[in-house]
Formats: sequence, C-alpha cells, structure tokens
Amino acid sequence: MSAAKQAPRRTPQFALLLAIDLQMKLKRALAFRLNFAANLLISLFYSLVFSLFQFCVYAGLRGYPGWSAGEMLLFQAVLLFWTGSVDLLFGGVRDFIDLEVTHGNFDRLFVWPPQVLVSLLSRGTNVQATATVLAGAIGSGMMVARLGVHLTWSKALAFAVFFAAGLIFYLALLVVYSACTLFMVKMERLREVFDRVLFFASFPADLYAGAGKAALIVAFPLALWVYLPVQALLGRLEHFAVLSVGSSISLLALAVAFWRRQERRYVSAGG
Amino acid sequence: MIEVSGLSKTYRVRARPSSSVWQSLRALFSREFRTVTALDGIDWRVREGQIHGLIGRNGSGKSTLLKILCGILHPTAGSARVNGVVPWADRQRYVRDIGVVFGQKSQLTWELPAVDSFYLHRSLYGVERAQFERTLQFLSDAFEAIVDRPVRSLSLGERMKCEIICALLHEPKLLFLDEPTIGLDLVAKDQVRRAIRAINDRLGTTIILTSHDLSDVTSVCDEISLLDRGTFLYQGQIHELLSVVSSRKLVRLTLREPVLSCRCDSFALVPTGEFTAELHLRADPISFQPTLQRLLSQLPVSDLSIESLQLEQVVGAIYRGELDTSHWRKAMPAA
Repeated sequence: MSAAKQAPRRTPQFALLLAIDLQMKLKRALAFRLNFAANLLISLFYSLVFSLFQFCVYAGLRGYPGWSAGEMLLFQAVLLFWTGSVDLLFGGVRDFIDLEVTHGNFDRLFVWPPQVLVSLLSRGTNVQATATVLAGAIGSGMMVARLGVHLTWSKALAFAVFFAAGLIFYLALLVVYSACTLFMVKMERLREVFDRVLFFASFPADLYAGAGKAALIVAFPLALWVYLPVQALLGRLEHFAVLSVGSSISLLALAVAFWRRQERRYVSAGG
Repeated sequence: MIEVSGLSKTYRVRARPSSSVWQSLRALFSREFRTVTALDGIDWRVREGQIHGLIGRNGSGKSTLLKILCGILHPTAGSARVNGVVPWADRQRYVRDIGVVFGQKSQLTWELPAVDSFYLHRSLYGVERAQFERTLQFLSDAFEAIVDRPVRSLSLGERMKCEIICALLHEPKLLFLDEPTIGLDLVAKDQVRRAIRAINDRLGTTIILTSHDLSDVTSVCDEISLLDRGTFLYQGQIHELLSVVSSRKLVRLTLREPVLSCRCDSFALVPTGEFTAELHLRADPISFQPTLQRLLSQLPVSDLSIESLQLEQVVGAIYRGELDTSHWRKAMPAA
C-alpha cells in the first residue's frame, strides 16, 4: 500500500484550491436542487433590482456628473459583474472565519499542507453568485455594444488589470478582517463598517473632488472595483490611475504581514 | 518518533474578579491578567510504531500538548521534535506526515458523501490518484465504512470511522486521535478500537490517543502517559502502573443498616447506595487481615467483595489526590 509513498507531493496552488472549493459547493448546492434554483433566481432578482434602483435614483438626482445614461448603465452592469465575481470567489470567507474561530474549528486549517491564509481564502466560494456574474457580464457586454465602444486590446487589457488589482485590494481588506477576527473573535458591528466602506465603490469617483478622488484612486483604491475598469473601457483613464495597482499590491503585502503576526499569536479555542 | 524536552506553554488570560455588571464595566477600562500554566516543562518520548495513550482530566494540558505537536500552537519554552522536525517551525512540511482527528470537530462536509471530502483531502495533500484509490480501498475495508452516503445521514460511529479514514488517506507516519470514541455506543466503540489496532498492525502508524474513556486506553494502547496540571504523573506501561498500586484493594460492602447511620471513624467509607459502600485498603501481607477483621467488627456487614484496582479506579484516586505519585515521577525515565 505504501510502495509509492515517497513520490514528491506538491502543495496545491490557490487557484486549484478555489476551483476545488467551487466544485464542492456546487455539489453541496445540487444536493438540495430546488433550494439552489430558488436562491439563484432570488439573488439575481435582488442584484438587478438594486442596480436599477440605484440607476434611477442617480439619474433623477443627476448624481453621476459627466456620465450619460448609457454610461451609467454600463457602470451598473460592471458593478453587478464585480459584486458577483467577489461573491463567487470570496463571498463566504467572512462567515467561514467567524464561525470557525468562534467554535474552535479553525485549528483544522493548521493541519493542512497549504499556508493557513491560502486555505482560508480558498474556502469561501459561493456558487449562488454565478447568476449575478453572468447577468453582470451579459449586461456589460450589451452596454459596451450599445454605446458603440471600440473595444481594443489595450482597453481590454487595462480593464483586466484594474479588475485584477481590484480583487487584490479586496483580498487585502479581507485579510485584515480575518486577522482581526483571530484576536477579537467577535466582529459584529465592525463587520457592518466593512460593508459600509465597500458601499463607496458603487459610486463613480467623480462624485468626489480633488483629494477625495485621489484618495479613492491611490491611497485607498476603492475606485479599482468599478470606476477604473469602466473608465478603462470608455478610454478616459487618468494617468495617475496606474498608481492604484501598485497601491493595491502594497496594501495586500501589509495585510499579509499583519496576518502572519496574528497567526503566530493564535490561541485555539477550547480543548 | 516524538521527543519533547522541557516543553512549557503559558497563556495570559483575563482575570475575572466577579460576575457583577460593575466589574464588567470596570474591565472595559482597566483589565487584569493572570498567567495560566498549561504545560510545565514536560519531557516526553514516544517510540515509533506505538499506540500511546495520553490521559488526564479536563484542563490537564492534553489538548495544548496535542496542538503544539500538531504545529497549531507555539510553545512558550522548550523543544519538541517529531520525526526530526520541529512542528511549529516547519508546519507545512511537517503536517504531510501527520493525521489528526479531533473527536468533537469534523473534517467532513455534512451534506455530501464522505468520499467527496476524501477527494478534497487528496487534492490538499497532493496524493497521486492511483495511490489514493488503493489506500481508500484498504481503509474502507479495514473500517467496514460507508463512504458513499451523505455524512448527515450516517450514525455517529459511521461518521467517526470516516473521520479516521480521512486522516489516514495521505498515509501519515503519526496519527493523533483526540477522543475518537466520544459519544459512541459500545458496538461502534469496539469497531473503532479494532480498526485502530488494525491500522497500527498493518501500516505501522504511530498513534497518540487521548480519551476520557479508559477502556479505550486499556484495549488499544501499549503505553500510557498520565498528565495532570501540566506535568506528567506517570509514563510507562499500563500493567506497570497497576502493579505500582497492586498493594491496594477495593473492598465493596453491603450493610444491614443504612450507610449513613453507621459510625465508622477509622475507615474512609464512600457510600455508593443506601446500604452499599466501598473503601480502599492496603493489602500488605501483615496488616491486611487484622484491618479486615477490625472493619468487620465495626460495621454490620452482610456481604463483601475484595477486588484489585482497575485503571479507572487508580486514575480516579490520583485525580482525587488519594494516591501519592511523587515517587513515580522520580522513577520515570528522562526523555
């Protein structure tokens, strides 16, 4: 039985672990098919209603300075795509760490070969968000076509780079949240603060003038999530926007350093 | 296999002077801390291929020791090497060679068949598919386990067998079993114990077993270590521990009158029912007979039995402080 035992074993990569978790979650969801179908429809409905409501409010209040109605719809569609993507990949991470740390189950991540942080971040996929991702992708595609945007390789690449940098910044915030959970255990209202901060990304950074806009693009680059990818598609990026990519990577590095410090001081709950 | 030397772990915990609201409010502004010693400079050695029982009451330091040896916690002082590796320093490499089952925590996905969790485990440990399938087949047969039904529909015993299989799929050299029979009925306990023995016999896996059920320990373990208040009271073979206390006998009495109405100041009677009681007596050849005669003359005894102490009774007596264990510690081999 153990003849082949000494064959070298590789630690699975983050992307592979995410894929495995998605596969497991899909199997779990399909174990209760009606519930899965109902959840998909409801989450799609909510996402669309929220986006349309926001569009109506801001169109009525002239809330998006310098944005046409079509561009505002594109913004909402990309917002839908962003929200769905983040929810699909990391939507359950906060629930996972909250539950595991409170109940003392977090120990099991320490007895798996990948790094604890890698195991944690790859355990929060949410297949229910698939519908939102698809709706966002289709909506974005339709609006790009309707606006007559000439989609060049450079625009597509810029969109992908800013979107990926946005994911990196989101991960940085998630890592800080997780590290805080390790020593605070209960996060409750701080979790609400986290959500309120994220809400700022659902408005174009043009709403804020001067330093406020620069802060949202460079210092705390929430603009990476929707605003900058949309600006990339529309071909009207400001030069300093590229700083946000470096900023997101630096913030992730700082967040990981903070996590490592807390991980060393982790005190398991109970026997 | 396991070599632990001078290992200590202390926790800094918040002191709670009282449960009053005022004290709780005060604690928001000024907190007092105290240091709790979970492990107090212990030495420990476990040989390869053993099934070693680690026993101790709640809060004795068992879980802390296991968590340090699993690489979860960092010790405050001392050293530990398992297979030549320091668990907390080289955790990622180290955990490939260990399997862990926490009896009260699950590695399995509740809604799916256990075999799906096994495949996740295969990916986590990077086990080659053919090897994984051979191992799974062997373990499923050894444990007579049901692996293709959703975990939520399995009995506790079946679930525990799947937990142990999951921990063994990457063929670890060392397996930590933390209360694997907790909550199981007699039949399921017996199945799990037989499977643990089979794994040890056929794969040579070293197993560290913690349990509050001492019949687990007596039925599967080669040696035991008894931990209390962060230090070892005993390390060695079970029969040696029992021989150390073989000079003590358990006397069970049935009386003609209620136990509480009997006056017997010179014996420490422990009532076990209205008319029944038990006590421990020294059984040395010179004093045993006179002591027994004195007991019979003082009490209205209608029936009695004299038994050698079982492991449960010895450990219970140690926990209650009725046995002096200081000379065992001196006799224990240094690690």
